[in-house]
Formats: sequence, structure tokens, C-alpha cells
Amino acid sequence: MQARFHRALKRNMEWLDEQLGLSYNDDVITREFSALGHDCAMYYVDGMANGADMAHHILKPLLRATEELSGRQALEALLRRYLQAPEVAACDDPAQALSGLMRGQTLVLMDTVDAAVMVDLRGFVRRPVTVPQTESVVVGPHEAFNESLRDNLTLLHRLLPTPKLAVRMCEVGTSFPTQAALCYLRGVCKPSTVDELERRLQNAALDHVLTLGVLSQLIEDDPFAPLPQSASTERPDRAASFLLEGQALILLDGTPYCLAMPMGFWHLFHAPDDSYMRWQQGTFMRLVRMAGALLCLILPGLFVSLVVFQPITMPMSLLTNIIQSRSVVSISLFAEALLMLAVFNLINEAGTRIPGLMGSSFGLVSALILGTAAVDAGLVSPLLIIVVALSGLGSYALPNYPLSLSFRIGQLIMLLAGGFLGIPGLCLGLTFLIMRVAGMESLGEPYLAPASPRRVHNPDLLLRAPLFRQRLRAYLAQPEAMLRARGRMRRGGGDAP
Amino acid sequence: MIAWWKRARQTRTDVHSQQAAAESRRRGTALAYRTLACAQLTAQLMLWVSLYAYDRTLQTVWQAAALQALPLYALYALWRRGAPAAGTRAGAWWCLLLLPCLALDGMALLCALSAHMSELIPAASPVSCTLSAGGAALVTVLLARRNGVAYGAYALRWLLAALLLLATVLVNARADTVRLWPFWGQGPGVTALTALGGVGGAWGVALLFALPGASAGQERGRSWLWPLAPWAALMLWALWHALVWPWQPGDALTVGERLTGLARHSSSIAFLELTGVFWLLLLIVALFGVLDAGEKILCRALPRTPRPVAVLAMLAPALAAALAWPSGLADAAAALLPYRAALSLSAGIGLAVMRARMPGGGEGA
Repeated sequence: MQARFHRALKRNMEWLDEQLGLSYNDDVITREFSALGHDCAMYYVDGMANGADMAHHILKPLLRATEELSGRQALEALLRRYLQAPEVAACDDPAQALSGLMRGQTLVLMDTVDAAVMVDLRGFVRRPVTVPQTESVVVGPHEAFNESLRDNLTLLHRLLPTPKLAVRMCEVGTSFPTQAALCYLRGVCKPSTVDELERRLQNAALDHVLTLGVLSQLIEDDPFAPLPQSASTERPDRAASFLLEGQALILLDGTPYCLAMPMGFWHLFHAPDDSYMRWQQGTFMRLVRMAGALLCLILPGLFVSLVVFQPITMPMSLLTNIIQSRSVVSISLFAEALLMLAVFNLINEAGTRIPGLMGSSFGLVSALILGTAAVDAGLVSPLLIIVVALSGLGSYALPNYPLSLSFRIGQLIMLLAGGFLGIPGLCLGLTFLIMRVAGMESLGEPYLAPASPRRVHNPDLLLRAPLFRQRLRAYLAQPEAMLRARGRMRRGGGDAP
Repeated sequence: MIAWWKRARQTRTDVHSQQAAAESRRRGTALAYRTLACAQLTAQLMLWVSLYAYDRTLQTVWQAAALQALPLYALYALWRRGAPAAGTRAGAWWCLLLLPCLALDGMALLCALSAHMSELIPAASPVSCTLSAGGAALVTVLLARRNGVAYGAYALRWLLAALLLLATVLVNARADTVRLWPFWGQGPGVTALTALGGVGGAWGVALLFALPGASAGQERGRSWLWPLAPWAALMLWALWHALVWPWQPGDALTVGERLTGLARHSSSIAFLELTGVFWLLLLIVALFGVLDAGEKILCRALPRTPRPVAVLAMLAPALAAALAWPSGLADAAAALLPYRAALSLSAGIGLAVMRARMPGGGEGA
């Protein structure tokens, strides 16, 4: 790698041509011209920079220049007088210039000048800001991140127009680096959190990090843990709320969502509109989600263990129905439940992969047809279909897709435990899962905190207190910034109780 | 009072600095470990009532249970005195005296758990139940990382408390104060002698000070309330046995029948099941806690001991005893378990003496 640019344009061009492989790479365009009395060259990647802007901001002023300048004087003139783009910078490091070029910047080289001028005229195609796909809300904003890191940072800046919003740019990936941004609120986020995240980002030693999903696996605390250790969101408003709670965000170029760390188990049960609705409604929805999670986790295992091992505990009428409906089924209840869960997951996965509207229709049709046919064929009993469907509904109520998948894996563990050991097996399985999850950490913070272990926190956990009671930030914030409101919060309204 | 109410409503915080935050984290960890210790203590004391004391004292079992407050608070006072020394290197060695107590606890818990399990699943052999419970304990403690067992126990505390209330107060329509008479039962001597047999269960108070996060030297406030919780659970359990008389002394009952004896008199079969679930959860949490506490104490004294080895060292005697001697639990409770208090007492005295010899009486520790 060349250590620095030479004063001779020809040598710089030879080096760049070699690095870019211009003999076989048709995507990088070189435009040679004369200006300020010397030969010049302009490099850009076709499609990454805006052609009209290049003509207007670079070529037009330079080709019209009449004076003759050399060396540092020429460089100063280029930067201060001739190049009219808002973002122009001199670059002495060839590697950095090459990296900028590949990210869409335009390079201007000039004979007698031992530096390149980087002009930011990026104008590549990108998806516009659209409605969230996976975190839709009834009440609240309808903007989502897209794949452009710049756009995503702009969305954050628009929501939090404060100089305290700090953004540290960095690159992840060893051979083919991707641009990432670490965002946090100065004075609210703990410095130790930022330092630790930076350290982990620097140590993510994969040749190329394509998405945040890959990156999160490289920086999380416990790669063998059953649950995600970072909260992801595609919504700028939710990302801003994470920042206000003292968490740090990681954004990656090419990924339409961001990661928040550290986080806790309870964050995964929060949906964006919990806070936008009144506290009673928000709390109610969270309780519904928690009930769904419990249904998903234990219902199939509990059903099997009660029917097989403790039928005496069930009401006689229900037990009679179960026995009657199972009388035509030829396989054991445990095998039947396993089969049904496998079919449910198969339909779910196939429905996800089938494109567009067909997916939901496919899920509905296959569930109806397969369910009816399986009952008619004596493969499964109708009651088990209800149990599996209820537990499936429970998993869909969870607002976080990785969490939903983890609960379905947990459901399988509980079914195996209940199927082999009945209620004692369920108790062993549940205690195992709780203790395993309680032992997890996210960036060193206990996963079940602030509930277990106890931490001082904002009353916005499983139950959501009225907004005027939420005077604290999350336990993840800098201690000095824990109090986010002083005095009465409803000065304009009626009396708070 | 107003300050307490504001803290309880979480609209106020004392955490405004890094030091306060660190202290808050330490308190949170200590709270979790103390809850785990209380679960172990409660399990031992309640097992003592169901498997030993009730058969001997019948209506005065609650008096024998009430007397357990004496060894509980005597050991508490001693250990609290020596607590600052427990954090030192030599103190960690004194704490090793608690390992045999933990091993005995583990044996009692695993025997009770496998007996209860094999009763709930008649098709499963006691050996397979023992191996399942032991295997689950090993896997959980190893995979729960550093503090998972304590944090998990803390998360389960309200569920356990609710199930205990359900298993006692809420299910028994048959409870009647008439059964408490004659007041002295078979005589104060029998009651006192039975209470002496239960002294061993109180040894677990030491765990309040021997587990991570504990620092009695810094917490002067309401730490005396901690032994009160297991004692209250014991009293509730014993009192309801005295009020209901779930079985007659001399009845040949299995371990599971004794544990769920109270619920057998309830109106709904579901309560019986929930009482069974209460015992399962309590025994499981206590068993996992024994392994975790043993590992913590062993690794603190001998820091180079690998974690899996420490956990296995705690599990092996319990597993061996439960496999070789599954039906001898009641005998073990009578013959062996009371001596646990002596070990706890010795360690407590050793630590108290150490503290007295520390510069400044250990106040700065």
C-alpha cells in the first residue's frame, strides 16, 4: 500500500489504477482534464456519485479557472474557492482516499499536489423512508429506518436535536469493512457502556459484517444464551427512547434497523405504542403479551403432563371429552403434541418464506386443510389443535421476532420435560429456564434486572405507571442523570393524584 | 415514612453517584443471595416439620417450631458478629466448615425431591427420578453462570410465597383451633426434645453472611428481618399442621403424602396439585441453591478449583445418598441432620474470634 500521495499525478494515477484494477474493472470512471495550469484527474464509482452535481460543483468551476497555481497553493484554492460542494476535504492517506472513493465520494487529483481532494457528492439509489414493516403501531409515528446509514442518523438527529447526541463513526470487518455508527446521549449514557461497546466493535474480527444480525452475534456477552442480548428496532422514535433511557445504539450501513445495548428481558416485551397510549391501556397490552408468552411456553407441556400423568386433576367433563376425542388417535399424546408443534412451525416458516400476500393465505389454507384432514385421519385430536393454536397465538403476541423464536424453542424444552416427567419435569424445566435466563447479561448488566436483581428503576417495566410518575430513567443510565424530571410533571393539567 | 413511600413508588432515588450506584448493585446482589439462603432455610425447616416433628408432637408442633427462633437468632447474632471476617482469606477457610452442612442439606433435599417425584409419576423409578433431578441441578447450576441461581430464586420469591399461602391458609376448611388443645400436648419435655432435633435446620442462617454480596458490617438496618421470613413460613406450616392434623402419628405415609398432607383435606383436587407444585419448586430451588452455595464457598477458599468440579463435589454425596439410601430420609433427619448446627456454630465462633482480633475490631472491613 502506498504510504502517501506523490506530487506527480501520473504516479498517483498509476497506483490508483492498479489498486482499482481499472484494466478489468469498468465500474470506476476516470475523467482527466486540465485546470489551474496543470493536469487533473477525477475518480468516481459509476452510479454512486451524482453526475449533475459533479459537473456543477467540480468540472464547471475548475474548467473555467484562469489562474495558474501549484502545490499547496493549488490545494488551498481548490478547497476554498473552486470546489463548491458543501463537503470537501483534503486527504493525505491514499488508503483512506480509496476507501472514500468506494463509499461513493469523488476524488480529485492534481499534478504538483501531494494529496487528494475528496468531494462528497453521493447520489446512489436508496429506499426512501417508509412505514415500519415489523413494528407497526396504531398510535404513533409511521417512519422506519432504511438501509442508508446517513438517512438513519438524520432521522435520529431530527428526533433528538441536541448537541448531546454523540455519534462515533467506525468501521467493522477486517478485509471488507462496513461503516457503523455508535450513538449515545452524552451525560445520560454511562461512559463505561460506550467504551465497552467500542472495544467490542473493534474486536469484531470477521472479514465482512453484512448486517447487524451478524454483528450482534460477535459482540454479545453470551453466544450460547437462549435469548437475544440486544434490542433491535426499525423505528427512529423507539431508538430515540432507548437513547433517552441511557442505552447506546449501533447502526450499520446496509441494515434498516439499529441495536440497543445494554438491554434487559423486559425491553423485549415493550412495544412502541405502550408509551403513546394511556397507562392503563399500555399496561393491559403488556399483561396480554406476558400471558401470551406464558401460554406459548408452558401450555403444550402442561396439557400433555396433566392428561398423561395427572388426569385426576382435570374436571371430569373435560377429561371425558379428551378421552373421547383421543379414542380414534393411534399415537401417544406426547408424540401427537410433538407432531403438531412441528407442523405448526413448518407452516409458520413456509408462510414467512412465501412472498407477499400469498404467505398469509398459504398459512390460513394449510392450517385449515391440514388440521381438518389430520383430525379426520385420526392423527391428532381436535383439543390438541386448540392447545397448539393457542400457544402459537401467544408466540405471535410477542413484539420481538427473535424473542418469539426463543420462546418456541423453550416451548419444545418444556414439552419434552412435561412429556417425560410430568409436572415435576415442568417445574425442573421452568426453574432451569428462569435461572439460565437470570444468569445472562447484556453488556455486563443482569438480564432480568431491575426485577431480579433489584435495581432502582423507572416504573415502566411489566406494568407501566402513569407518565407523571415516571420521574426516573432506566437503571442503565448514568447515575447522575437518573432523575429526568423534578417537581410536578402535570403543571398544566389537573391535579395529579 | 414519606421517604419510604416515595422510594416504594419509585419516584425518588438515592442513586445519584457512581459510588451510590455500586452500592445499589451490591445490595441487589446481596438481596438475591439472601433470598436463596432463605429458600434453603425454609425448605429445611418445613421438611423437619413434615418428616419429623409433627409425628412426635402433633398439636404442639407449632410450639416446637416457635422454639426454632432461638437457634435461628443465636446463630444469626454470632454470624453477624463475625461477618466482616468472613470476607477475608482466613474467613473463607472457616466457611469451608459449612460444606458438610450443605452436603447433608443436598442429601435431604434430593431424597425428598426424588421421593415426591416418583410418587407423582408412578411409572418412573426412584432411580430415574433421582438422576433426572440431580442432572437438572448440575446442568442448571453450570449453565446459570455466576449469579443465575440466586437471581432466579429471587425472581421466583413471590410465586413461592403465594403457593405457600395457598397450601396452608387458603385451602383448609378443616382447620380448627379445637385441635390445639390440650395446650401442652404430650408435655413440654417432648416438645422441647423435638425442637432440639430441629436445631440443625437453623444452620443455614450462616448462608446469609457466607454468600456473595453479604456485608453485615455495612448494613446495620433491618437485616435482622431476614431469619424472620423462614421462621414465619415454618410457623405457618407447623400451625396449620396443628390445626388440621393431616394424618395421625404412626400412619405409614410416603414422603410425598407427608409433604402434601395438608392439601389432602382441601375441597379441590387442584389445590393438592398446587401444593405439590409448591414443594417441587421449593425443593428444586433449594437443591440448586445448595450446589450454587457450595460452589461459591469452595471456590472462594480455593480459587483455583474449576467450577464444574466444585459443583460436582457438592452433588456427588447427595446423589450417592439418594441412590443408595432412598427411603432413609426420615432416619437421616433424626440422626444426622441436627449436628449441622454444631458446624455452623463452630465456623461462627471462629469468625467472631477472628473479627475481634482484626485491627479496630473489624469495623473497617
